[in-house]
Amino acid sequence: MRAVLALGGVPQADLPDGVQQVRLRLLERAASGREAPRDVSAWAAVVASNLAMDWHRAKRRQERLGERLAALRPSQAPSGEETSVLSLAVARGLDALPDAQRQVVVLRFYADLPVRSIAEQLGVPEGTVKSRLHTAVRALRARLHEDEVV
Amino acid sequence: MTAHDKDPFRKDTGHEGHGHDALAAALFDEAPPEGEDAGFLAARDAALADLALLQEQLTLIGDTLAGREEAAPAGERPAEDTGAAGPRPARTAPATPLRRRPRYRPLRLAFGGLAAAAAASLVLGLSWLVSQNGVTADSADRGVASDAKEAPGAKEDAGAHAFGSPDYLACARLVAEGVVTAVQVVPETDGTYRVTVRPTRYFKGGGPVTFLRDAGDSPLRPGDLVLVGMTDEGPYPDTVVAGAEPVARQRAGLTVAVAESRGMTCE
Repeated sequence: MRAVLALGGVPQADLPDGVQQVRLRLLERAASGREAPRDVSAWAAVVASNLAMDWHRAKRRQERLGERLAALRPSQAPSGEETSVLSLAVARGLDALPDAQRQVVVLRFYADLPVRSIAEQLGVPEGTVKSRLHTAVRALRARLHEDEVV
Repeated sequence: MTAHDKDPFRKDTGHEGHGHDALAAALFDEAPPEGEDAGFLAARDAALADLALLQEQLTLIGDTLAGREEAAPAGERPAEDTGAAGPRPARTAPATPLRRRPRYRPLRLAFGGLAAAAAASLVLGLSWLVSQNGVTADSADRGVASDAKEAPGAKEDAGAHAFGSPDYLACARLVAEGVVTAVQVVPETDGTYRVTVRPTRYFKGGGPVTFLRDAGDSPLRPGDLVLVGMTDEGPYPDTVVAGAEPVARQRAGLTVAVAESRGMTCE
């Protein structure tokens, strides 16, 4: 959940609050008498990604992943110069994506959720998720090839 | 020029943008239409390679930004963190695209995680989220029949067996909720009895749910709703919670822990 929040643009200092928010959402759901989510993992990942979007909407800014990654101490950053360059390029590519596209990329490739599950949890048609994913990945690939990091 | 226009595969192969493209085939695991040529297949394979790379990088970036040292590969990890959470070993990159990424976190981290969860829930006035030594906060409740047998290799962490700990979930071979269907005394023992449960929900693992209880343990009866956690292959569970309300209370923390343990493996 922390990583989904972080990839969604929530600063590290706010990650614990974000995790607690996800817990509270689940408790609220339980308290309201609704059944536990059928796929709790998918549910938590999507709630975390939604919280991340809400966070930077509320703050009217978003954590720039590329800047934050670049600012990390070398020992904390993904090791290897080549890997770091690639990581920075991917992070900046994520920064450049619209929120909705970044959300599905994180849910698909970090949280490892299938398209159907993402669609169910977000309450949107599968075609919408596929379209967002396709557009986002195409943009990311173009950026990586343009930057000549792949 | 838009990103769409810059797509090297669109420009180079012409296999995208007409309903069925190579990237879509890779992204959505679609079979190539009959009659597609080698160029299409090469473009799809290139897209698959890029997707694997993207997943690997997202894993690295996500873990790094989440403050996990595990993003660093083995041999290049930062010095051990002496904080409560302890060090987290490296997570390996995926060997194949779109597969579950292994995460390695030692069981001994569980106590730190549990302590953090307990502290957080105390602040929120939700201390019932976390069980202590396998006994729920409301242990006066008749329905609570909870025990905490130490798992081999984790004796220092009796509290780690709480269902609210993702580290426990990562190491558990079975966590299941169900109804006791039979309680049978094991012959030639000193009051040991075998409990058979009809599982209604698996949080981890699967298969038959049968375990042993000693005479001194809180008795279970057919019809009891139980939540059982087992980490090793032995016949005794680590933790058993019985009764509809106690199980429901554990379920809330457990479902969160299941989500948090997703992808983690136990060393």
